[in-house]
Amino acid sequence: MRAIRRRQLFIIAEIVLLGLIAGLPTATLSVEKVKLKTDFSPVGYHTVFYAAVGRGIYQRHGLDVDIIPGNGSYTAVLDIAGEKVDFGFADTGSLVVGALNANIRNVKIVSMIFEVTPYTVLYLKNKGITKPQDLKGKTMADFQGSGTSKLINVFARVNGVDLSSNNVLISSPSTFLNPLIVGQADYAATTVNRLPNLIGPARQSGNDLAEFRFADYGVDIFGASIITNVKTIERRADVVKRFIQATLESVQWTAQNPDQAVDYFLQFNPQIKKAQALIDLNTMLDTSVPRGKAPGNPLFLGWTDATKMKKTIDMVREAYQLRQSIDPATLYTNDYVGKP
Amino acid sequence: MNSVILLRDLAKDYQSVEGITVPALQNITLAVQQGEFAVIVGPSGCGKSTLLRIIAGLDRQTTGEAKVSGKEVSRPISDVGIVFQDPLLMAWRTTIGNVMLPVEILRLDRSRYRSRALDLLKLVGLAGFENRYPQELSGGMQQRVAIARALIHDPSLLLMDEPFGALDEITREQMALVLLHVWEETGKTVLFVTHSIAEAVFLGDRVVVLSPRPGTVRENTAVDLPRPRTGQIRGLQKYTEYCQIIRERLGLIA
Amino acid sequence: MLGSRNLAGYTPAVLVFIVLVAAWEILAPVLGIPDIILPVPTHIGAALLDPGVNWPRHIGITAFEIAAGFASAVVFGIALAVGIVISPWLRRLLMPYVLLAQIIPKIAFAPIFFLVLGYNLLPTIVITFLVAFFPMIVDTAAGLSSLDPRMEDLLRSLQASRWDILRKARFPKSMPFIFSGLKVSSTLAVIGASVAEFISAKAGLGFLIINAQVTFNASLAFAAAIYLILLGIVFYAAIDVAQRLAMPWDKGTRIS
Repeated sequence: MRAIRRRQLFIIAEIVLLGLIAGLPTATLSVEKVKLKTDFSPVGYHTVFYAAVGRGIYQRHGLDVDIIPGNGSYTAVLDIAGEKVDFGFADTGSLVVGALNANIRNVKIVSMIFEVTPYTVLYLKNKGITKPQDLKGKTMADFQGSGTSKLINVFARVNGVDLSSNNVLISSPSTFLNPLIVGQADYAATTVNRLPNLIGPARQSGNDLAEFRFADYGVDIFGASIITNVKTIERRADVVKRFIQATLESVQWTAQNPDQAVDYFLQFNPQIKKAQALIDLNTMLDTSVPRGKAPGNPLFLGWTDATKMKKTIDMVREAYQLRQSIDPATLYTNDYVGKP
Repeated sequence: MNSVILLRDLAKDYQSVEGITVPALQNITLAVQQGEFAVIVGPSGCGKSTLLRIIAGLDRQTTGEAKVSGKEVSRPISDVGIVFQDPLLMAWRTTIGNVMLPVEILRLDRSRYRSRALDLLKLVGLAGFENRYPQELSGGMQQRVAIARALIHDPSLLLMDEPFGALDEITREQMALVLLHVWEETGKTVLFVTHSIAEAVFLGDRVVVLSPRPGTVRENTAVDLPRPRTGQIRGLQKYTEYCQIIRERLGLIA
Repeated sequence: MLGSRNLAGYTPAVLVFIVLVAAWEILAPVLGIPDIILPVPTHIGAALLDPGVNWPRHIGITAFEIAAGFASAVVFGIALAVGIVISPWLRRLLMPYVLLAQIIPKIAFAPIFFLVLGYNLLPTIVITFLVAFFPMIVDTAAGLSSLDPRMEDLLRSLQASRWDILRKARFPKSMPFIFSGLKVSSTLAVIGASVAEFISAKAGLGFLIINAQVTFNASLAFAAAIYLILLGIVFYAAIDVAQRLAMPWDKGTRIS
């Protein structure tokens, strides 16, 4: 009788100990509520964030992440500058404009995500365009306040063509590619994820759509990155580290398992079709996250290269004709990512 | 016979909202002679205004005969001048502009009628007010303009639907004198509708009493009081007697 | 309102304005409000007078869009109102489409106008027109129908035609209503032109606002918005003056 009771006691003690040990990490890590503002309303390439939430990656790092859709990269930059959200996912160029044109000094990149810019020039082959130089004298489709229309002038300069006197048809961000599809316009600057869906409709109108990727034609600058306020870095560096680690882990996993990852995205955004989300995700991953598919330590991602940062700043400066310049080092930190 | 207005067995029915036939006027037979001042008196809702509209050609009777100047009335006749209880002056026209309105509608020669307009304004006691706007005139003065407007195109018949109903008693008595003065000067045939017994007796050569709906003729009596009528008439015994007769016909004396 | 006695009556409002602006200028940095979100009045003032911005051109283009859209709304609105008041048949035919045009959200369909009509000022003016025309129709029709039936009797007894009644009675009677409609319509025209410019423009105050926003130039955005407000006020004041001139007899009873 005594032996059995003793054994039972041991078993109970083991179970209690195991329970304590298992509960320990979450007990010591307080769950932080964190707001992330993205560049636009939910689109497939935001999967990395939604997968991190859905798969519990953020949760494992003690983070409760609320994803807030933005209305243009500049709204994410503004919200970070005004300390309305904790993190932002915004095009690096937008931050550069903010720093150079509006003296924004309290926003920093804490992790690069789209190491290669996803910007591209979509053009109609059937209008006699085979190389960038053929764009001279052609008609461009654009939307109000687009950054791509400014950057395309840098694209033009680098490729030795003058596009400044071309006619431009301006429409709303959601419809500006329509003139291109029907052939009213000959080219447009946008992101790579737009192309696959437009090939079919363009063909129906008798148009043959192709692209010149910015990065392939000399404008190899950064794309979107994770930004935060310098005060957040000062006061909550631990949270920043956890958020970046979790996000980069999710980027790695998403790049290797896009189909599964997209399912998490669709859980939060059921109004979007899976096929569309996959296109938006895969095109961006292929173009802008070249190291995403590499197995191994995920902390190899997220590094902001100093030379490329300077190039990004210089080209954005040229595109927007800004007079101010800035020390690139003030716009980013690599403290929370690993060396490549 | 010189009947300007001749009504024989006239009746008017209305269709109510529910589709029921409501008789408004029944068995109306009356004649108004040229130059006569006839008054119709009756309670509210007895159909007096309807009767005026039928005579003016703005509405059609259901059965019976309605003739003006010997002709069957089938459409609006321009040989009529109308004065309503509301002067209905156009706020954006001056006094003389308002008086000239019928001249414009009837495409008459404006320059010729302009002097007539000024004369009429003088007749109603508004000389010097030609260029005032209606907003600047009192209720009584506005009604005088309306009377002048009703006469500018020299109609044979003047129809008046409770024209002094909105005025205070003192102004009413003044306006009665103005109207009688105009009538004497112009010699028009007047059909005057009122719900005031005193006014009916004071003004009319003849008083027609209408019953409550459906309106029928309860009394059609001549008023034998001296002309021109003045304020003193109201003190006469005969005046009071006429008023009592009408009062009795209206069922106000038990 | 133009008399000196009346102008003096607005002094308290002006004083309050000055106090508010001064408070804003002093308090914003104290409260830590970033200039890129809410700029201080002096920065906005600098933007308003910035010679680097071709203000006359931008203001002129937007003013033209507003005026053209508004003018078409007035002409079309009054003509349509006359039609539907005179002819019940025409009213039954047209009113459903008028209502449809009013209810359709122009912002959502604006890109289609540009696609079909071209990427120039024409669709901008059309959108402005569509946004502004409804009050003109409604107010004018209300005015034209407000004729006292007994006045109509009086005119009919003189054998006036429907056209006579329209010209001599209905139309003058409806002037206060029409001016009321003009004021509402002009305000909407400002909004319509701005919205259209947000969709597609190469110049103008709406264009400036969008482009200032994406380059974090909040002072410029606010300045452009202020000029837009001033445009609206100018239109309103012009209509008010026109109302006084057109209706000199109307000394007190005015609908707006």
